[in-house]
Amino acid sequence: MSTEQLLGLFTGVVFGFLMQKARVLRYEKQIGALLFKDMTIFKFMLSAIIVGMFGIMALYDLGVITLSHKSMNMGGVLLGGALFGIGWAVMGFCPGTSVGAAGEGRWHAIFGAVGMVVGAGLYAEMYPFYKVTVLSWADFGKIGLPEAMGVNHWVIAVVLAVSFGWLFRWFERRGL
Amino acid sequence: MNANIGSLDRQLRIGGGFILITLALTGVLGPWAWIGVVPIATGVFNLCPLYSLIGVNSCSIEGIETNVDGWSPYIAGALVGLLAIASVYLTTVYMGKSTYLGASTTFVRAAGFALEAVDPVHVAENAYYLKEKVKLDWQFLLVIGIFFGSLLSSTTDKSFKLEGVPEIWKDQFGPSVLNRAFASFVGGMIAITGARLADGCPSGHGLSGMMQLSVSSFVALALFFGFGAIVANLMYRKN
Repeated sequence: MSTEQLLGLFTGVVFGFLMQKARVLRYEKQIGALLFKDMTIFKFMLSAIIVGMFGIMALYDLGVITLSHKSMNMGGVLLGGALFGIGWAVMGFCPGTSVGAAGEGRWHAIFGAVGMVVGAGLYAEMYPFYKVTVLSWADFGKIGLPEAMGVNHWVIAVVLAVSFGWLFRWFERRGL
Repeated sequence: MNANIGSLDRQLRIGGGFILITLALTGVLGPWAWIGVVPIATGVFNLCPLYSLIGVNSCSIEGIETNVDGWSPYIAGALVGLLAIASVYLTTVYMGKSTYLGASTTFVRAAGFALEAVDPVHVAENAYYLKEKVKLDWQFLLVIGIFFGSLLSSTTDKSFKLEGVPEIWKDQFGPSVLNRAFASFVGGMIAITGARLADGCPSGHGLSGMMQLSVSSFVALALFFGFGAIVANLMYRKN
């Protein structure tokens, strides 16, 4: 195995381990989050975002890493975001958690993973069509919120972290 | 102020802090990694000011010590944040390109591999497979790793359970494994189409994109949860 593959495998094992420990891989947790009845997934994701955000910005400011924004393609993000939400609720897992759920014995997630492979194959066949339709409507490119708003990235990060902190407080008070 | 840090939480803080300081000392990370003294101090004194502020107490979260309910999602989430930072750094150093956590492109590559077995010429000529490159790359191994990480964690704390139909699904739609499998499959097809159009899933957009403050990720994540909430509420509407 190459260094790249070993690194990927190791990162994945830790990622899967932590998601399983947080119990976010379960169907009940995924649906619970979408019904706003169990906020475990929100707590998990927002905590990861707070920590990751500060570290990534520090490494970026030091010139150690580069950012890799995904394009703000209007048709792609709007239609794709909506479709993903629908599929997520029906499947009960997202791409990463479907594989993780199978790892903790929830084998109905495997059908979702197979559905995603089939769906990805169909997408590849349809790609030339999407490229000249949905994906060609309007593309604002790979932009970050700091440039879009003209505000320093640390300011945005602090505002987000404080907002997430308030959300956590609210979740805990309501016992969600 | 009273102690508000449980024992596992304390170990993670002290362990993580030492790793950061070691990386600062060895010059792997910049001087900012000296921030590691903060988690060590909070761990040693069993007191986290941030927890007091938001009203969290990890001593009282029994799951942390008993394994039954797993770890606090705040702690596991924060550790995923550290993993994301370490992973961007290590991929930059060892692969020459800053690479962020993600999962959905791997399903395209898996489809490419499957199709290659039948019709390799078609895969070689398809614009999308050419764009995403059908190979066992970093992310492909990451997705495989997720499976084994989850297997490792669930078998060692005895939370591994074979499940064909989740309980809440059973209550709402009955015990048929076929129905659940069909929904899982169709949902997967729809979700991956969305993820490829939007160029990311809750890992790529939700975690990585949000950490980088990408505009597209804020929009995508809002739509993921928004439309997911609408459909989940329709599915689980009380009759």
